This record gives sequence, C-alpha cells and structure tokens, in this order.
Amino acid sequence: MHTTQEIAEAVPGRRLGRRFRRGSMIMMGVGAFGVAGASAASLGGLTAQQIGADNGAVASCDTDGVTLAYTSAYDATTGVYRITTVTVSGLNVACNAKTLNVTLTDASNASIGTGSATIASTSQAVTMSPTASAKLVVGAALLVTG
Amino acid sequence: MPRRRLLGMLLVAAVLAMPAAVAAKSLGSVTSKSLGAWVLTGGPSVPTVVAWTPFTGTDGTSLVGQTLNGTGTWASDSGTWTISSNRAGTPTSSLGNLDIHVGTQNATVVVTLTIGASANAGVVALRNNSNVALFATYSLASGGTIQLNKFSGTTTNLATVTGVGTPSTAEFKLDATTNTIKISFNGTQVMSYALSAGDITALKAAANDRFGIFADNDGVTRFDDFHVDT
Repeated sequence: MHTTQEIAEAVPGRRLGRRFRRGSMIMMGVGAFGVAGASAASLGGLTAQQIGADNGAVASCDTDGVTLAYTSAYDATTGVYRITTVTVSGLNVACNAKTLNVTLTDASNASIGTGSATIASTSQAVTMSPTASAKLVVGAALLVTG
Repeated sequence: MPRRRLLGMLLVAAVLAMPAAVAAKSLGSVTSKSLGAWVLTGGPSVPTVVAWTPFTGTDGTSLVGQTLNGTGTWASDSGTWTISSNRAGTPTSSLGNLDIHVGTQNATVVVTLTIGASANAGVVALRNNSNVALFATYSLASGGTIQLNKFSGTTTNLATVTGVGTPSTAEFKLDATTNTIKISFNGTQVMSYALSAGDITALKAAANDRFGIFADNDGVTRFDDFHVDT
C-alpha cells in the first residue's frame, strides 16, 4: 500500500486532492485493520468448554457372587501342572456381552496368569495366557467391564 | 457511485473478510465402567510331580543309571533301554522294565506311548526288589486292549478291558491308591480294580515303591513324557 507521500512523488508536480488523501487514509486504515484482523483470526478464539464427565452410579451386573473352577494340564517341558482354563460360574445374565478378566495370583499377590473372555452365559470359561504353575496359584482376581 | 460510499463499502468488506475464530475441538467424554469385581482365595488341587523326564537325549544313550528330574534313578531288571528320537524304548524283543524308587505305594505313573504295530507295552507299579509287581499293558488286539497283571513268581491276570481304541499315540496312566488301581488311556478312565486282601499284602508293603515303564517283546513302541505324581 503506497503512502500519500509516495503517490505524490510518483506523479511529479501533481498535488494530491484532499479527497484523494482522505480516501488513501481510509484505505490504509482498512489495510492495517485487515492485516490486524487476519493476525487476530490466526490466533483463533478461546472458548471455555466443560470437558469433564459427570459422576454417576454404575450398578454391578452381579451382586450375589460367583464361583471359580480351575482346569490344569501337565506341561512336559517344565514337569509341572499348569492352569489352562478358569471357569467362572454363577454370573448374572445382566453381565452378558461384558468382558470378564481373570488374574491368577501367587503368595506375594503377584500376577502369574491372565485371561479374558466375553461373557456369553452364566458360566464362562476363560483361557489363560500365560498359563500359571498350578502349585503357585493361591487366588484369583475377577473383573467385569463393559 | 460516490467515492466516499465506495470506500465505506470496502471497509465493511475488509472486516467481513476476516476468518472466523477457530472453535476449540471437543475432547469428547471420558467414561470408565467397572461392573463387577471379586477376589477369590484358594488355589487348585493338583498332583505333586515327584519325578519326570521327557527322555531327551542322544540316540542310543542307555537310560539305566540316569537320574530323573525331581527324584529317582532309572534301574532295570531286564531289557536294554535306550533313547531313540527323544523317546525311550527297548530295541530288543524281550520282556523288560525300567523304573525308579518313589518312596510311596500311593502314586500315579504316567507316560505317553507311541504305539508300534506289535504293541505290548505300558507301565509297571508297586514293584519290589524281588520282582513282585503290577504290570499294565496295552495291545492293539480287539480294538485296543488293556490288561492289568500281577507278577509274584507267576503272572496272574487281574482285569482286562477291550475296545479302548487304537490311536498312534496315547497317554497311559496308572493310579495306585490305598485299595484301588485305576487305569486311564488317552485321557479316559477305562479300568478300576479293587485290590484284594492278598493283593494288598503282596503289593502294598513298604518295599513296593517302584514305578516305571514296561514292555513285553515289544521293540517298536516308544515312551515319552514320563512322570510320577503323588
């Protein structure tokens, strides 16, 4: 954008009219404002948003407890019996289609075997991988999510 | 159009040309569900493996005198027992046993058989140093036959079951409890024999603690994944 002085110098001998000068000033203001406006636009707007989820009660799908049975098999490579499958029974039908996670634990409460399955009935078998030495298993933690 | 009006229009246009502010993106909602959790104590009841071996080794290696994993050293009263393709076998056609001291009369002996065309092989249990023992063998006759015999100078057949199947490989298991002998073949119990008072006297003395494998004129059947449990 040329200034009034530059335009005057480009056309020697010509005095710029007052209207021209005023229009130029307006255009320069528009130009300056446009540039500033573009800069402001590049920063985007800041909109305050609430992104947290509300708390709400999540009802348990089974409130009367479950039972558990182990299936083991001899491992000829290590000479021990290992838990290959855990069957959880007594599941409420409300738990159907949800995920059943099983974690076998040893005496130090460390996880030594895990498995998961989609619940399809009141008795659900879960294949364990890795398999745990049966002699080391002292308990199991069960979790239903979905 | 007057110039002043034109300039005003241009000013308005410049203002309207500014890009709109970019709306902040929605982060979505965070949901976590846990619909059931239990902690159960107690582990499974499984046997204790007191001795085991997969018979891994160089072909032709003699097994007599070898120490097993856990406990026990192989001993034999008859037969030549060697490793063949990581399995045990007695290449000569003779009657033979290979067994270990377990230290108890109540134990379970398990082995996987690769069954030969003239199979007559299985396990030995409750053997003492005077060769009083139980022998349980499998043959291909009659759709697969298992015999439970007692040897005490002479051989006495205690029980026989046929039609157990003729697979190429099978797990062969003999479970000796206080008064009963149970035999399973390929995962299925096929025999349960109640020991008589005479059987118990002959077979349940403290010296009758040897468990192992057995072949009767079977130079083809091979043995694998042997273990004794209590």
